Amino acid sequence: MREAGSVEDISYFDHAATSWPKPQVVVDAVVHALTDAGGNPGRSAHAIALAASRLILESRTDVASLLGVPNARDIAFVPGCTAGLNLALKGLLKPGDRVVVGSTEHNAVARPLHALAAAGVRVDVVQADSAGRIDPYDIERAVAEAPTRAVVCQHASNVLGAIQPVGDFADIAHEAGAYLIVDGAQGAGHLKLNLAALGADAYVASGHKGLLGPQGVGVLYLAPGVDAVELMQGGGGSSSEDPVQPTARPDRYEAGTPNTPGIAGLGAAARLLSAEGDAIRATERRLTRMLHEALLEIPGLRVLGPPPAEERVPVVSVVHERVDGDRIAFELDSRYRIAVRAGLHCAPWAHATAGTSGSGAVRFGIGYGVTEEDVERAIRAMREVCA
Amino acid sequence: MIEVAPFIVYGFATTHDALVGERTLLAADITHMTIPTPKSLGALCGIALRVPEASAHDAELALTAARCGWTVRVQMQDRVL
Repeated sequence: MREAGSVEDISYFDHAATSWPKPQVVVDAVVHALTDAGGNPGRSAHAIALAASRLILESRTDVASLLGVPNARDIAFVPGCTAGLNLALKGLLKPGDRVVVGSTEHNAVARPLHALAAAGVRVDVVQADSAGRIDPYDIERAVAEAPTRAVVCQHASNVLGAIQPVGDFADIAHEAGAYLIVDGAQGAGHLKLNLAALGADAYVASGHKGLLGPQGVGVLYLAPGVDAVELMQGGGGSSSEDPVQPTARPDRYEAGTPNTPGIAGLGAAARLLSAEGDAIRATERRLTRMLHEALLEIPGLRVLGPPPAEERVPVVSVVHERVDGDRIAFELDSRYRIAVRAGLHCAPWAHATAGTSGSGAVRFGIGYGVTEEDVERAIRAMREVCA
Repeated sequence: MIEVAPFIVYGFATTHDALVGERTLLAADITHMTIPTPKSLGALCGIALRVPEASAHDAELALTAARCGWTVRVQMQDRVL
């Protein structure tokens, strides 16, 4: 048994679940928020509360800049990507509406849609190919079949790595008078974004994956004029006399005390990504391809998703014909100090699409801080585990 | 006798707008104070900007240029104790 406590020698390949270790600037920003700006933002005008309010303004502005959002008011900080997706879906859809959705969605989309379907929303699924790619023509054909309120899709699959042509989907949706709602959990940070140009009406990002922030904060972008109904009402420090939730952004979507340390950390991460994101992404792409190509050479191992020559987010999932995924993950962890994730990755739809519902898969998620040495170590370990 | 100079208080719908206003006035080097919103201004966010009346014109030009619209503008003066 290995000793608990030492983490320095871990090769961490679970960035698709959450990035780790966090950049030092993120850690410093969280500590700064807790020690020097610990007031309740937006509630008071004393120095310590104003310090917190200013941190949030700075983070909102810097996150908006990173994501290509001209007006930072269109960025709401939410507790996470799941919370943001629930808000976008339940705030824009009502009984009688119809949505068209891709077949590789994460449960953060699939489960809210399941609940909405029970409430009278019609949900039609467009099948991706086994690599997770959705043909825009199939979206267009599905949208043409019946009046559609929204097209919903992942920007990239958390299992298969496939990147969807969301700009094309936006054009198709808008042509039909529908919204495009994008789950950007695996896109933001790993892909360079300009949300104003992308065309999504709602884009929801996890703060703690490719965006490198702390857990407990996510980003909800709603394009100007997109009138999603808020899911929560409560205090926010503004218009306290009114019994109804304010409609001004971002307050409408931020009832309750925000996660100031998390938001401050996310802001620091956004500044880091604005400065170094291109280099970080280039490294991720290079290491992903290196791992992908090496894993393809291991007998009995199937690599899910598009081929190496095709762009993907830094996710490589594999299935072995003899060795169970949970066994591989356990051996990588216990024998080699390599952290991966086995199972269904909260994405049973994606596994059904890939034909791996029964086996699940072992996922390598590459991200900030992963080195070539880590990848070489993982390749060596996989050769041994799969021998 | 104590002279009190009038000042203008700008109230905003959201804390975000108020602090964008604060940042704008700082950048324009316009004297101001960030204060708790006076109750008399009505249903607004909790933070307001106080600007000497003599600087109000410049402040409004800067805020307008930054697309930082205030919701309420009130002339006030301090209590004389």
